[in-house]
Amino acid sequence: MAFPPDANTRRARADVLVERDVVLRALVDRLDEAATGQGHVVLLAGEAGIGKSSLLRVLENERPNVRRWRGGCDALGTPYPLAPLYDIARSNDVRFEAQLLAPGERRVLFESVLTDLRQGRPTLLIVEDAHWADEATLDLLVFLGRRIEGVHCLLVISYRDDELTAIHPLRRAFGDLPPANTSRIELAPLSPQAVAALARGALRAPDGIYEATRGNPFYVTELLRNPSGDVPHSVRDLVLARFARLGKNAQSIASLAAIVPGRIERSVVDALLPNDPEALEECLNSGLLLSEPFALRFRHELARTVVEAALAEPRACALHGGILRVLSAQAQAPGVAARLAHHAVRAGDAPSVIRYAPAAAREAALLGAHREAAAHYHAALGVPGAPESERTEWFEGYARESAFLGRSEESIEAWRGAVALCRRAANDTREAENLSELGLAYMRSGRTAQARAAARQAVELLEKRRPGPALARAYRVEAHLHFLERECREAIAWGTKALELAEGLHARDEVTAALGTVGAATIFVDYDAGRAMLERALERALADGLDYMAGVITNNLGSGSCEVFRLHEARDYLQRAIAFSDQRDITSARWYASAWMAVAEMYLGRWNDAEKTALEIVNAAGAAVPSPALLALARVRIRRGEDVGSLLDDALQLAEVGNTVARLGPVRAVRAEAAWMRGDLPTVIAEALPALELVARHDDEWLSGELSLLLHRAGHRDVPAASLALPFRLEIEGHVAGAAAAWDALGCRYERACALAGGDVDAQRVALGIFEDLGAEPAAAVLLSRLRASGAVAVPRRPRASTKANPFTLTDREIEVLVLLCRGLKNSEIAELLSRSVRTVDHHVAAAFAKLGVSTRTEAVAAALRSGIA
Amino acid sequence: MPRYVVERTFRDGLRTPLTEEGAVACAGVVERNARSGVTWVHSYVSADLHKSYCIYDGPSPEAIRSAAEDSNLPIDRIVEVRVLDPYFYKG
Repeated sequence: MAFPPDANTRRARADVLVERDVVLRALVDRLDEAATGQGHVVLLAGEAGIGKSSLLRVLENERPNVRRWRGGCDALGTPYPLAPLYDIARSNDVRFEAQLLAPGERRVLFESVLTDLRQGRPTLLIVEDAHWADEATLDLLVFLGRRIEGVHCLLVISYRDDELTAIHPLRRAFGDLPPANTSRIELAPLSPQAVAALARGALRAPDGIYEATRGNPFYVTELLRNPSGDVPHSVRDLVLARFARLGKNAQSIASLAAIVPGRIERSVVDALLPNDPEALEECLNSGLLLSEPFALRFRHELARTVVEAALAEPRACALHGGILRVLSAQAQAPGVAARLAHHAVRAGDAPSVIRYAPAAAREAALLGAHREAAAHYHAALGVPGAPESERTEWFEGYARESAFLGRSEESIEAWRGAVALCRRAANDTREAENLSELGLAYMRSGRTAQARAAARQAVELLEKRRPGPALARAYRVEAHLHFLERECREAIAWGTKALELAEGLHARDEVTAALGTVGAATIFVDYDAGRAMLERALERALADGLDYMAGVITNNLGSGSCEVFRLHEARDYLQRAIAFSDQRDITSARWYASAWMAVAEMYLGRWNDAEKTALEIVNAAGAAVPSPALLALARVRIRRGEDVGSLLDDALQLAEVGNTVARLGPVRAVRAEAAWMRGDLPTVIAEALPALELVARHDDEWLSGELSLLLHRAGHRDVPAASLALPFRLEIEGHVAGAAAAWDALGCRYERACALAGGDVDAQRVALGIFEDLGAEPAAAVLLSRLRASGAVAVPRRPRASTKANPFTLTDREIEVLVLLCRGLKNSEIAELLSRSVRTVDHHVAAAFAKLGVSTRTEAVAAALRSGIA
Repeated sequence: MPRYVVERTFRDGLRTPLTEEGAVACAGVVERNARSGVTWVHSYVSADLHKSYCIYDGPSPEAIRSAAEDSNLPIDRIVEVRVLDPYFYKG
């Protein structure tokens, strides 16, 4: 029996919605706003069967002029990348289709989706069932969400909130959406009154229905459409009762449809089952299946999973096998590999798993769907008896994707697997390449000794053969491992070998990478030379479109500058790094850059900024927070005399995972500073001394300097000899003025004040001013009591805490006016800028002058600058 | 427009009290049918209230299914029919 193309009937048909008026109104309002250019993201949450899809179908019909893009994520064992985009491309005329069908740079595809959205009519973009979304889809949603402002688009993302665990990737994606342009709507169950009304509408008695269903609309509907007498106790019983009433052929159709998540093509059904229109009609009449153009689907995913779960295993296996046969005979389209892999695994068809899972993995990896790629590689590796040459590639792929996901143990195991297979195949070059990777993986999980051994083995293997790019890379890995231990001279030596070899081989990317490594290490020995090298590497990376490398190099310029106290340069580079990674949505690089930004702000005495920056990352990154952010936050709090809670223990734990000098040294330094503030001198020594013994052997004179100074202050004189950075050395040697000047030149106000506090009474008074200005209460209190005790000078008590940055009790408005005045603005200009009358501004200026005790603008500027107000 | 017999089973019985409530319920079904372009002509209900045979005019079986879905009414079978009148030949 033929059905009319039902798109029209379906569209004309209004779903009956109960108790959804308010939510629908809110969504329509958002859609209308989006149509005027106020793009917005709505997260639509609710349990399975709560009516998300019905609501969205109604929303689609509310505004016929709006372009409708609708895509869904399917419950495939491993979802295929960007499934919603394929849905949208299938049923709409979209320009991004060309990029979608010819997989290439993912960014280009995302940009072209955005371009499509920016052109033509306003768009209602619906992505359903995002709890099943693959990683690439999540990245797309974040990409669009962050750029939605000003786009004529309402992006609605529906998901089952009861299926989101605390670590579900969707949660992180939601955290990356801009709060100002995102709202969350939760669909509540129906009330008892609404359920009763529905029952009466179906010519049924409402008794017991609410109690059984708890107001879940899907359950209510199933129950009302169920002809059996008693009230079944679960959706499962209901669905199975309905399935059981079907005839044999109709059951076959429903079973086949049940093992295909989402929809099943009519062509697949026709190929596998005898043509039986009556059986098909029976399925449709039963309400289990719906017909779509060229496809069938379950009326609700809940019903599909119930039927699928009820199928006996041999039967399910046979059905998966059948679908596999039909699909594999069809033309190869993107996304098909993932479907084939899904059915191959469930059909227990090993040759097909070997054939399709790696293909699906490569496709997913290309689109940045690392979670899915890893799952496919894992499935392929689970097949016994696969050819070893292929298994090597799968191990490598699995290792790479696991590293992306931060699963370091899996990554290490997989690299080891690849190394072992290469060794058996006597493929030296590939074995060495994998050894280098293994070395880096060991390093990431803090196993320095193993890392060294693996990297060394790689070099030894390759040096026996004709030098090639693999050897240059192995040298570079050696260099990198040394750099992480801050053995900068060794790092430079290895890196230079890599650089020279790569240049000789004209291996352009390898030259750029080696320059980056050598430059990062050189910064610690010769700042300007290192910086110049990194700048050159950055230029090359940008010119060659090596985005990721460019991001890493910019970050290294920032963090390196910060580590050697070139703080103003650090801020510039880090600002660039943040903008760069924001543009490209490289989240981890963004966190890294912000963490170091917090450090730079902290040293520059911008404590409020540092705290704000650090807290932002701590909140966004959760457990993945880079430790410099924790340290910057801890230092600000320690210096203000605030409680640091578990910050320092968390930081230590994080650093111990990496276990390198670069990570561990700074944590120990901050812990020692905290102990110093508590007056706990033995702990200062216990924290700082072992760290200094470790660091002193390496090339980081700033870290050595800081640790030595802490030990010096704690009265520990038996300090390991190390090369110390100038300001620290001057301070330890007692050159108060010199140290203070050196700190001043670096922009470090707190450090300058600490140096001055060791000087004469005049120096101490300056130091006190700075401490109070910064809000460094513990240091100020100690110094004040020392000054009083010395009795040399009468020191007035100063106002505390809230006025710490404002010793003249100026009002906020007066400070604002003063700041503008310092920038050289006239009163009339200030008035215009602040939307106040000139008279009011004149009044504020006069009041501020009186409080500062000045009579001219020049004196006011000087006073404001001196006290740190402006 | 084709005519159909729609067969339904209500194991717990059909509930159409001869009250205001029954009238409202039936009116609701009629109204929701209209959205799918379907007309409920009338029904024959078995004496035990468990089966109904409903005469419907509608554009397609799919439209009738849609309407049933909107009203949460079960369907066992939809059969397209023509009218045969015994007195037709009496002229």
